Amino acid sequence: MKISTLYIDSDVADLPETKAIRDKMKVPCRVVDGAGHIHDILSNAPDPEGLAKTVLYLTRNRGAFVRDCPGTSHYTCCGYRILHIGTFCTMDCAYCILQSYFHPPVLQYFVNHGDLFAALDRLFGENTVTRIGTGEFTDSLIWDDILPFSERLIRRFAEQKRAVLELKTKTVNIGHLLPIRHQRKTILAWSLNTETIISGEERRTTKLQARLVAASQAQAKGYPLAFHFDPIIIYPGCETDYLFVIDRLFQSVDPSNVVWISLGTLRFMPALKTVIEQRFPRSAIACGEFVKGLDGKMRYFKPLRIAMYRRMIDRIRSHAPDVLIYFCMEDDEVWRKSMGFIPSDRGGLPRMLDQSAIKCCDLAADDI
Amino acid sequence: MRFSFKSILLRSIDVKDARFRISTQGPIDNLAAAIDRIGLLYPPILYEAEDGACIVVAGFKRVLACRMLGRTGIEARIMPGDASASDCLGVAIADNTFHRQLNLIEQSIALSKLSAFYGDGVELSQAAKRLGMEVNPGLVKKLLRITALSGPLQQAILSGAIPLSIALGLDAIFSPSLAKRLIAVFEQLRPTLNQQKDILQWVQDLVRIDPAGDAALLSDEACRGVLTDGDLDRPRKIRGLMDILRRRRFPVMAAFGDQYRQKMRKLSLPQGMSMIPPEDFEADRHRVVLDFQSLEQLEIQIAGLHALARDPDFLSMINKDFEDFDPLH
Repeated sequence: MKISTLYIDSDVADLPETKAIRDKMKVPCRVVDGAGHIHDILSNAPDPEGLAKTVLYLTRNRGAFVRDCPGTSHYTCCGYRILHIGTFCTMDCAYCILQSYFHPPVLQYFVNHGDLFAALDRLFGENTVTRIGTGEFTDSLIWDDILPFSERLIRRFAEQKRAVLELKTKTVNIGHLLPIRHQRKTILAWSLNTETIISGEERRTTKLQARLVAASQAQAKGYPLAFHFDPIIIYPGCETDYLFVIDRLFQSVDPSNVVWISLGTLRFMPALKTVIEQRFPRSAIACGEFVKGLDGKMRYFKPLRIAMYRRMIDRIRSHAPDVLIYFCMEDDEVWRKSMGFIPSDRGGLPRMLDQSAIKCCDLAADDI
Repeated sequence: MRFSFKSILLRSIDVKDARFRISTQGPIDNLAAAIDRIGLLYPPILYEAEDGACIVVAGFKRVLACRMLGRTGIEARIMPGDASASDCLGVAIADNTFHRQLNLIEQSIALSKLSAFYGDGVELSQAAKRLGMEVNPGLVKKLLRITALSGPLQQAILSGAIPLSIALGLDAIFSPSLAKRLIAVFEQLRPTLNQQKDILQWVQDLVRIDPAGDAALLSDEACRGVLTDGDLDRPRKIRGLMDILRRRRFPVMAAFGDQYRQKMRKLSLPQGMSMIPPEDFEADRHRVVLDFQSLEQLEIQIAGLHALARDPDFLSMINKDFEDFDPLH
């Protein structure tokens, strides 16, 4: 999506990051005192989410840069940490929870990177293994063509041994990252889905083949990889399609270089259904067999989730018996019936993921 | 406003000019009979042009009733000569609201006509309130949409078969033919508001899942069978229709529930004992409820519980795992 207007918080107008972005973008630019004006414009638009993707707001992150994953009650969380670089996204996926997560959604990019790196220094000082990523509230790589921020991050993570950075994306914007000395402290991760879902529900994202080629290129440059089948969407023929994606994945990458693969079927707060119906009139993804989960989110009927997971895990295991597969936000029943064990049998999900990161990313493991 | 009173020839009144008409059409036989018996208590209000031609501002039915009675003239109140169209409309609305509650269609007509003189929803609702209509800007927005609805849908609102919120959704979401079938079903079965909401949501989802299926929805053999079954009373028809739609909308959940109930029947639980699965089978907590009146009954049920714990069907129920059941196929 092309940015049509750049708004700059007067508070960050003089930062070098702001000046660099302003010079690079060459779009109408307006300095504002806070986000109130943008909220007004978006709230009164017929398609606030669509408009929000064309209006970039450069501002300061006034809260914490390093946050714990919000998780959800009743389901097992991976204990991930979030490096909060911005909100919302220029790509336009029908299922994106960010459409209803922020009211209204504002495409923000936090440019007080001095504060961000100071927060990272404090994190690196902690005597624990940390898995942290930038792809929770936005795509990790959408802003790299206007500011070489990921390069700075990768270089900074390469200087330490306690933490691993995960850059999660649906882009193939990695060419500039390939030559960087990363010391395997950055995982390049792709969200994967079937061709049907990518072409029908993920506007302005890259094709599956392109993502897999990019992953292969990253692997060739020594980057550890991760993949996220999230959201898995159930539709007629989906089983064959997802298994095909798994086959293609392992034709492209070496299983021993994959740090983890997550699986998560579509889930969403009830309010998102209306947004999907209005913004994606031909999409039927919100019309699956959903029930209200214990956390209030809509989830596929549990036997459906389990059946889908079982098929996918079997196929992944046939290619990569040792790769760590985990569920994003599922309960013990799903773990037991799909994986054959529950996370607490193996020290808990965070520990399982830490161990995989230690092994694949050469982290120091004194505290494990 | 200064009205004058005048005898007017009925033939000089153009009753086809409905620019100030608010009331919906309806039978006038009773009104005519009343006028015949006790006379015209409230004269209609007319606007008289310079050439003597009159149009009705308020009292269409009274004028028509007098014509039906074969009268040639009528006593009428005449609007001041300098009255504007806005004045006449205001009088027309007030004359109605001061006597009775306007139905939804009439409210919509009144607002639609008033909207020619007032800008936004707030201004319009304030003007309507001054004329005796109790409407806020949000309701104004909804009511204004009614005049654009199809005739059958307006009739369904008038008859009370379909609430306004449902009617607006029906018109906005569905194809005209499917909307017509839904209206017919709602008029026939009169489901509650919540039932209507469920039916609409399921039908809407089914159309989204399979747009080509629109034509068959509600007119297929199964639905027609329920709707035309003379042995079923109205509540059972509603239940039957909702069951068909629910099963189509949630086929795996319905089949899974069937399996569960089938196992439950096979268990032959002792009298007074019931088993309650987790809601939507999402959690893993099951409940067995014992309902007893005496110690003997309780002992029988406890013995039944022990037997139950060893029953393979019971185990498959609490494991939510039914052989030969593949949710993906």
